[in-house]
Amino acid sequence: MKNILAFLILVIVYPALFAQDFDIKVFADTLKYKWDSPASRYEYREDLLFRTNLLKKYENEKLNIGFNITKSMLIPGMGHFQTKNYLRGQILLSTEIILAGTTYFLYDKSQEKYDKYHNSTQIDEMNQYYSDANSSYKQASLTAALFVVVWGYNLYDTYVVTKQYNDRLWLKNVDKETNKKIMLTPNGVSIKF
Amino acid sequence: MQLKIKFIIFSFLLLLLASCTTNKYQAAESILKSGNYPIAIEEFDKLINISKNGYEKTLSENSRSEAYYQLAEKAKSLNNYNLAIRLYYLANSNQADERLIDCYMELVEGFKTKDDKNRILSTYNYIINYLYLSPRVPELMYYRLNSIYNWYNDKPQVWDYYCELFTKYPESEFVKKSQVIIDEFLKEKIDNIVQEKKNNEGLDLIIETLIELKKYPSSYQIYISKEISQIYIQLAENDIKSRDYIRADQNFRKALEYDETQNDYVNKRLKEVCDLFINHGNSLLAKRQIDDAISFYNRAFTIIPEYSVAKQAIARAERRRVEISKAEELKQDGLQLDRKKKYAEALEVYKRAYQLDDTDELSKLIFEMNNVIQIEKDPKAFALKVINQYEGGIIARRVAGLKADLVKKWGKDVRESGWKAIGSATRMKMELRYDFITPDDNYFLSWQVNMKDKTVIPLNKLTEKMIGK
Repeated sequence: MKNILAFLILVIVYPALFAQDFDIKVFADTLKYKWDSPASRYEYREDLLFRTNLLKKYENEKLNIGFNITKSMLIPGMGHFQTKNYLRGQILLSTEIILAGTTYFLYDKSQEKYDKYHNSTQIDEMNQYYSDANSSYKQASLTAALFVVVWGYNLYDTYVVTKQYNDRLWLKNVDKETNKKIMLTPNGVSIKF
Repeated sequence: MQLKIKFIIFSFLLLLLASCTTNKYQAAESILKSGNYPIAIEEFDKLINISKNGYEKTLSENSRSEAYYQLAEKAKSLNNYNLAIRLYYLANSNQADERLIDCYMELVEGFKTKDDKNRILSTYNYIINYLYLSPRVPELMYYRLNSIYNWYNDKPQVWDYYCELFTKYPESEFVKKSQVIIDEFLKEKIDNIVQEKKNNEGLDLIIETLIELKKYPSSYQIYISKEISQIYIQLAENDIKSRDYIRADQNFRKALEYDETQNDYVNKRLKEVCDLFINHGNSLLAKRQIDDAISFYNRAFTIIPEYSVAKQAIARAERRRVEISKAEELKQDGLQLDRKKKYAEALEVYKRAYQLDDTDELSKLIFEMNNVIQIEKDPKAFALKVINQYEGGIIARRVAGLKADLVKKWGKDVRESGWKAIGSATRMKMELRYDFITPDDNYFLSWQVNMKDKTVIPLNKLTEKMIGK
């Protein structure tokens, strides 16, 4: 706990340690963005305007990372299905089902042995049932822990794939609009402005 | 219990990680909203450099632009124009560009008070060349043009700027404003160009220059058109002189395109050009070159379609073709009759042919046929008539002269034979003789008369000398 606190303090203080003096010449240098000609400056502006026009569309189509993680919290792999990563979603979902089923089976088995242990009257039987119940319980705990680990990984991976999905979505929209601007026609290449 | 705490910390870190990037943008946004623009710009710059998400980058770039703009506004409110100009430039938006121009214009006002013309013009040039997408550029182009005219009276430069203004912004109200300045010296410019036409050289170049001038609006559009028309007419007249009628026609028509009031003159001249074709055709027709003549008549139609004079000329040429053909047939008939010795009929046929086609050949045939008819009647009398009429009676006069000389010398001792015809007229030729005998000498005069063509050939040196050959 102490280590974590120390790390957080370092993260906050680090930029201040290496902060440089504010240089107005550098700050207001008109060549800092490499607009070395009026054309390149206007070109940048045009490109930014083009991308700005895509913001609304992107906002409507993008996946909310928090909401997608919540879905994966409730049903593992659900967030992956939303991002069209079906295989990973299926693997995670089936792994969680198998682990949950196995845990339930082993827990049930341990309870059954435990009941038999309670109802047994002979010392050998008592030892045997207790040992079996204990062994099954340990196995059930292990699979339950695995279930939690996979569930946790499922949440982390949902975050990663949702982010990737959103990044790809932006690029796809940009490509789509660019292709609308530049079209191959029977008369040659047509460029819309 | 400890496990539960670890689980909660793990979940918190996970959620922190999930919202990490969004928080960076939002943090920069909140800095921007708090008005700490330089820090916001630094944060946006960092985010733009590291972010892989285009959406986030775009948002950051827009916010950065806004931050620069706001910062520039602050600098401008403190009259720090140099910084404001740089920051507006970095804001790189249409709105920022307009404010940037405002800054420059305020600087220009300062230069005006110092009468610093060079810096004023440099500022205009900078805005025009570097902020060329601004809607205020036409206005600045007008200011530049106006300044150059008023300060330096550099008319060629003013004209170039005007052309540039009109080419780039033809619909701008500042074109009209600039036109007022242009109108002040354009007439003089046109007149200087047109003056060159007096040399009658480089007319094409003058037209080209005037057409170029006409592209740009001015109050002298009609004036330029009339001048262009005049030069085209001059070109056409030159073409007529060099007999290039087709090109003359083209130039006349171009002249009309520019000035319709020249219609009467051009039509008159085109008619005259057509008439030149007709006249040339007529001369070819006179030379019996009927196809060539028709070809020339047809060329008149390229200038005036359905030109009635050309039509009549073609009809005349076709009639002539028929007449010549018929005359040829009649001539052949005449020759047949001649061979059959039907001279009177042959003569009639030749005369009819001659009426259709008055060629030398037919004329000769008629002449000879007339002679043949007379030979048929009395060859000797005709031969004598020929020799008496030969070159206005020269032979008869010389013979009489010789006789007078001899009589003067010898008196009655001179004897003469009179005219004697020797030979038959079968070959249309006859020899005529006249002899003088004196005590001292004899003179034997002898000629051959070709009766068919009425020619006389001296047959000895004495007669040769007599007719001077």
